Amino acid sequence: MYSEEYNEKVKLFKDAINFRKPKKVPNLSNFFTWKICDSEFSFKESLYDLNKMDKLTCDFHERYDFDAYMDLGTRNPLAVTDAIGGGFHIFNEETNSINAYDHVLMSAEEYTDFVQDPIAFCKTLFQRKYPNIGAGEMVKSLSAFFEFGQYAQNMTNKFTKEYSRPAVFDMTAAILTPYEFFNSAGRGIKELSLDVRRHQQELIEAMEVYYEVFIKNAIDAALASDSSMYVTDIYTALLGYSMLNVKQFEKVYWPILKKYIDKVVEQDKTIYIFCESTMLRFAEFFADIPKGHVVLHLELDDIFEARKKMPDICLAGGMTTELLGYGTPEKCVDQAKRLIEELGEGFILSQNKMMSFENDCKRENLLAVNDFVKNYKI
Amino acid sequence: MENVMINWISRMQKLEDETPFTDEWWHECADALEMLPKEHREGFMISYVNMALQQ
Repeated sequence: MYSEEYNEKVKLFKDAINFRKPKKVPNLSNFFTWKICDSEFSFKESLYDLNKMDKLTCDFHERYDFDAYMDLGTRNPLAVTDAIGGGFHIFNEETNSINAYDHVLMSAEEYTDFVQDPIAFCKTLFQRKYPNIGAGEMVKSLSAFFEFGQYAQNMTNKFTKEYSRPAVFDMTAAILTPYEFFNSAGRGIKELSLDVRRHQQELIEAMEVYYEVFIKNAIDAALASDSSMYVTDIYTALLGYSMLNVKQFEKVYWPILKKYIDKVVEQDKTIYIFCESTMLRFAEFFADIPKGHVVLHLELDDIFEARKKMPDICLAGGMTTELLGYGTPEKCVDQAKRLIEELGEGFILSQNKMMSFENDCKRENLLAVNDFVKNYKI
Repeated sequence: MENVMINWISRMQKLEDETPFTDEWWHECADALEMLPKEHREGFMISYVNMALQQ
């Protein structure tokens, strides 16, 4: 069903996750909207025209030829939310950037309302976020949501069949933790940080309910399905955890994240965790997880230090925006070589950040690194 | 498929004239998604709400 080249690409990643010596180090693209900066199109026309997004995503692959892609142009479904009044983000056409701003949709006293009926409460939050939906706008928004889903499916099929490049995970297997839900969609970073101190028990109860209602079945379904064609079986991204100290993480965040990991280990599957900001202070929680199940993609941590502290965890990242954006091709290749030689097995080469801004990378640096990695044997 | 989409738009337009955002209204919105298997319609609406909240 899949080409030989496709199966080889999947094997590169599975070998890395399992600390088997791969044919070469897998090279994973963590490029998001930087792809637009590198294209012939403007930000606005790309984000609102899926044909242009399709073209620039394919052009990006044909130019740089990564082994797999975290993003195929599916990050910002702006048409879906613009149709009903827009989300909480700033779209700056001059700097070619999109930034979300912190917002609060519920009070701390409402965790108990959430616990009583989480689905109804989410619909209440929806109304609060989009209070002025006019005639015909829900149809327009839902149609855009359909269109976006079809685009995502088409791109996965195109990369799978035409380019023989595996998707990192099934879109339905991207499962954010309850803490991240309240961080991005309920309380906002600032208020949630205060809740950890002032309303901890209510928050923990609400997260438990969120897990039971929205997460548990989604994880079970993802782990039960045949995901052998993907790099990993489930995916999650940690952001709000960066505001926590070790004690708070242990009490508030880890118990539910551990449930994800325990299920993955029990069923001999894999999880890809993108760790925004820094996570090394939590390394001890990951120290006892057996080899072959967890990939940690590090954003701002020292990856060499992380290897020492978590020798059984596959690590991804290493190529920094500082180097790719402001360094020379020679320095970038030196860093890639060092990463491959020192981290070797159990390592996926990638960019530390979700590459989004124009200055995150220079074309000549990326071309030099990818040309080097393609032919360099461990 | 085209007819199904036309029916859906017409049902949604009617729903938008009714009292929106009650529990019953959300169920009707899900039920109107005739292009999807019945068992996936409520899940689709929940995914939509979750995405719109996190975007």
